[in-house]
Amino acid sequence: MSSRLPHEGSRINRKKTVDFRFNGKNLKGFDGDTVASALLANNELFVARSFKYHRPRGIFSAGEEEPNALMGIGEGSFFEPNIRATEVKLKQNMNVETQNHWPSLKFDFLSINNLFSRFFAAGFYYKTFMWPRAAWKYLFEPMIRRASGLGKAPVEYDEEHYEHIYHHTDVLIIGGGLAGITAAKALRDRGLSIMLCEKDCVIGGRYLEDCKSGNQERYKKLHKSSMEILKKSQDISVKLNTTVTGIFDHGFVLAYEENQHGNIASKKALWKIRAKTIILCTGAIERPLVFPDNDLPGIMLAMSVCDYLQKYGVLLGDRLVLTTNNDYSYKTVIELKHRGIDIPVVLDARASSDNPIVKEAKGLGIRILFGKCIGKVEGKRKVSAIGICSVNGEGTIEELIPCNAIAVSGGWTPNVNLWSHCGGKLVWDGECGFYKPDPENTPTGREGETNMLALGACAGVFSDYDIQDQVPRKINQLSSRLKIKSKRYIETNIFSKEPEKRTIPTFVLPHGASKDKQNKMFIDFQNDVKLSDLQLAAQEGFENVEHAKRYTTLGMATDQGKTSNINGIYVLSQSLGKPVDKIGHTTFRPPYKPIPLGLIAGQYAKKLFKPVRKTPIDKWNSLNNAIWEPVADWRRAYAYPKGKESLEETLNREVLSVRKNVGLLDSSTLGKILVKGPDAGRFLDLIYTNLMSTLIAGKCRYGIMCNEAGFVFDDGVVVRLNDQTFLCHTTSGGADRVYAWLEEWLQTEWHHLKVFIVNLTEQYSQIAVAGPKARELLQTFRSIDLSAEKLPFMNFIETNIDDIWVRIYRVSFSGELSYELAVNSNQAEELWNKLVKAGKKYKVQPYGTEALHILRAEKGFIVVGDETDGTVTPHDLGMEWIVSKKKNDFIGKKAFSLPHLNSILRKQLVGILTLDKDKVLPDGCHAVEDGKAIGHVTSTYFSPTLKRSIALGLIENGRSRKGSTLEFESSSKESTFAKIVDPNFYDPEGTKHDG
Amino acid sequence: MMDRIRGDIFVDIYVIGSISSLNIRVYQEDKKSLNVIQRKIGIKLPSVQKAIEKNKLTLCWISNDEYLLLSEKKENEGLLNQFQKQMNLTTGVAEYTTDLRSWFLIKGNRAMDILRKGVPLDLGKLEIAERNFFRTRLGEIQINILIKSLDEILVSVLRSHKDYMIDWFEACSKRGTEINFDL
Repeated sequence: MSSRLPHEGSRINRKKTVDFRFNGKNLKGFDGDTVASALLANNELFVARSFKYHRPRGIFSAGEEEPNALMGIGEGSFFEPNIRATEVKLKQNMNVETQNHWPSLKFDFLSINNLFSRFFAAGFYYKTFMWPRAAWKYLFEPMIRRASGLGKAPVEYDEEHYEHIYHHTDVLIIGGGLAGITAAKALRDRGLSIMLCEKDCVIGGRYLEDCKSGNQERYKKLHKSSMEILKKSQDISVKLNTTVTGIFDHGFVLAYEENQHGNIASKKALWKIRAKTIILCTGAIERPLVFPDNDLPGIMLAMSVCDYLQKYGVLLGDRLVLTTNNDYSYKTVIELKHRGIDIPVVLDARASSDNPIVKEAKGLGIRILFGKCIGKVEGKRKVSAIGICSVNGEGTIEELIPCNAIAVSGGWTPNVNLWSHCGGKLVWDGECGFYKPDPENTPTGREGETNMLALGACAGVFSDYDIQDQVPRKINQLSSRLKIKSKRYIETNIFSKEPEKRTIPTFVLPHGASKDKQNKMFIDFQNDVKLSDLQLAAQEGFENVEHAKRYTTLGMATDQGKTSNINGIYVLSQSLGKPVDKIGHTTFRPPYKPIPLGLIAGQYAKKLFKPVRKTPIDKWNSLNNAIWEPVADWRRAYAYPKGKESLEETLNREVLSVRKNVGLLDSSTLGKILVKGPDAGRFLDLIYTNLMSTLIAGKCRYGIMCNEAGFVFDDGVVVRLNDQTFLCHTTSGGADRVYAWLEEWLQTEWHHLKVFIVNLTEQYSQIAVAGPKARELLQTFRSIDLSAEKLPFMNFIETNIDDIWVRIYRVSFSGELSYELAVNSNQAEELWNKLVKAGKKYKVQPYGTEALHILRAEKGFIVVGDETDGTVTPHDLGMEWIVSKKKNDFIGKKAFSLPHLNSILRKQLVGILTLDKDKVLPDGCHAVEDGKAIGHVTSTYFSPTLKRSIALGLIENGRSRKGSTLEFESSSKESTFAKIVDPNFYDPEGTKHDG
Repeated sequence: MMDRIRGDIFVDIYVIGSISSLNIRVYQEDKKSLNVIQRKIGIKLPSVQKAIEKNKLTLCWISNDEYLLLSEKKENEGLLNQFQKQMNLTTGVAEYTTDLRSWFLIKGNRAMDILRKGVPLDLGKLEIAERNFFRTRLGEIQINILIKSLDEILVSVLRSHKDYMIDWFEACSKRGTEINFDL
């Protein structure tokens, strides 16, 4: 059984007890515990069910490589599934739940899968469920979907605090172990900014634990002096609890900060780091050996056993067997033996070892068997005994040893994921059996220069002596290459050269394991990939490692195969009869470890999800019951319902008030772009399809812009303020696009023109005063003459309304007498209030965008984006009159001569009147002729003015169909018949706009 | 009177509203326009990402032919009107953009930290001896930043984004979310 020692544990505070719940059971841990260490301290070895076969699983490691102990942590709006228990700090009242079982962890119905595991081999889903065809949709897929997956997605809104932080640094050191600390010390005082990210809550890495074991005075001294240096150095910033999850082009790095100091909520930040140089000191991950039944609870990586012992005072078991192929793992059994733990045997796959550490273990009375390995593991939900067999045999059991824990070590794999993220290549080290960074093929920065350096264990250098010897040298070389202050850094190596610890590249034991045993050998624990699956993949022709990966899902789980990739590649190489370096490796991709989706969103959730632009009259609109409509990023008043009015009643009231009295529209969102300079007219002639240079100062002209293909791009009224200055109005959503478009043409094609443009969209707000009583309303303010003679249609004046400066345009988008008042935005609300107050006498009504659309549709006016879709020309809209024949050039002119833009089969804008006048056509419905769609409805409304439905549409050769009746079909296949007419339904003579 | 953004926050943020401003467009070789700027404003054109202040008038670099003139003193209004008129007689442009932006003042020794949560620029290596001016983005919106000192920063956004900016400041300046380094 696993338990807690009475005194040890460098990370825990025994004075502070932490209560937590595990599957509803109340347990206790200590402050500083991880969920995993607390569970082990409470003898909870069986903590998970495997993904596919629902086999019992236990905690396998002590870090981010953990493939088994994935749990649901927290509750309510702080619940998060699939969290590694090995990485989460225990908090008071924390709720921990196991997942992927039904009805309970111990009695899981789907553990029946394990009985049929022989049939659920790789590719099972691809080969079965083929018949009957319909069953896939209605039976198999729903069943598989229900059974698959791990944790359940949270149902409540995530209340965690997430945010993004930008940081720039000259050097980023990833990893705060011996290599990282030495690199930081070597780089300081050179005028560089240095950031060191460490995933753990302390820096020091593995040597930190060694310095606390009591007999390693030199480690203590080194650590103390290093801490002092790091604390004092102004140029070094250390970030703890921060895992670098991805490295991208040009030194862009993403790091995940989990600040877990809080009790319930915690801060989680995504650091977006720009680093000129990156130094990778990410260490190495211990990998397991592959042997039969190697996935039972009670089996753990050897160094993790040691970590739990030293950091948390937790023992995996009181009778532990070590199976290994290297010298490094002996440290674990020596540490355990020193604490009186029974070590019945060490099974070393090697023929022999003369390393002093092995001798030390022998000296402690530990029985070591060379050339032996585990041939079987007994136990149902946890280890109870192992069977010893010869490494080279088929797995014949020679001796049965009762035990309750197994430490396993297959050597170390350099942590090279980040090196590979942005193009660094790897080389196979056949002697040690791992891939390591290729110093000749490094990731590069924006100038093509090497911008990453791997140091320490992640570069395949494991001894402390070698690390302290190499790191300063490499940093000095880097400094001279970067041409930074080349003060040579010298550090006395406090470590003594020790005999090299060795690993033999052995992966699967016993070598001649029978088929039956191979079926119980797990390579990838998280995805339940067995040795036999990889052999099958190779047999079926998935020879490329990337294909085999996808066929078997090896390394595709959320642990990204940290403990399984090398073993898997080895098995593939054996199955294909090729050396490992010819097999290659799969691609490492960000994120290095899973990050919450909320972290990607950062602070940009809820109110910050999308920037909403508000007009200066927004407050009034809000107080007056406006319903909102998103128009690009703006929120505009769609309508202003009163009392218990239905929406239809509201729209009818707003439209009729414009037609009969007067209405006010907040049209502040219209784009307003100032074009100024001696060549402004010439420039606008090139931009618009019609002539603008001939516009007289004081006058307005409607214009259309097309793109190079001749399709309508934007439209609006152009005003000539003076000889050299024009103000171009654009659509609300098009302002920024048009501004950028003008700048682009000006800077790239017509840079010789002396023209400046300024986007003044938000400097001026605009209020439309429309309706037969508009003139009367405005004239209540001041005795200015707004008669049609003094201020004719498409003219403007500048004046004051009660000391508020206004520019009044006589333009109309409703067909009624209409004035658009431009006002400095800071005074817009004041002017609006004055108009509302003065307008009471005339029964003025504010009207929203929907009424605006009905009004313009009654007049047959187009809206860019409704009547156009990026494939419509002015000719299609019946607006040939706006395309100048005099101008030599303008954007789109060339395209108008292309045959396909002049085809009679092009869709043309027409008016549509349903035969049943109460029937409003669905928006976008198709016009159908002989079963073929020949056009569609672009705008459709019930017109309160005409008391009937009206629509605009684009119909093939539409203008020649005027008078004919066409069938319109909705998405529900309902047919409606309508007559094709002229698009101008209201006041076709245009007599109303003068009032 | 400035409104302070409320809440338990780690910096002081004030909503200023409008600051008198003119957008200036000028060709570097246009001596006539440059002469008007020099004569009326008395400030040389600032270099890239810099701002120069004189008599409560600040001229900020936006691009090589675009500058922003800010006036934090009401007495300068007449001067600005004259400048605009004279400038518009040249091929350059001076347009009032006072109503176009909303300004905020961030004060405190963590003023820079709040911006680091949304601005991708390197704000760590500013030469504070000179004022710095950046036209950049914060999250998805465009902002201007005028760094008067390390603990006093003016920020402007389009006036339509004012409420969004207030929400952003409230969310990102909560006490407990300060940017800290360890050790």
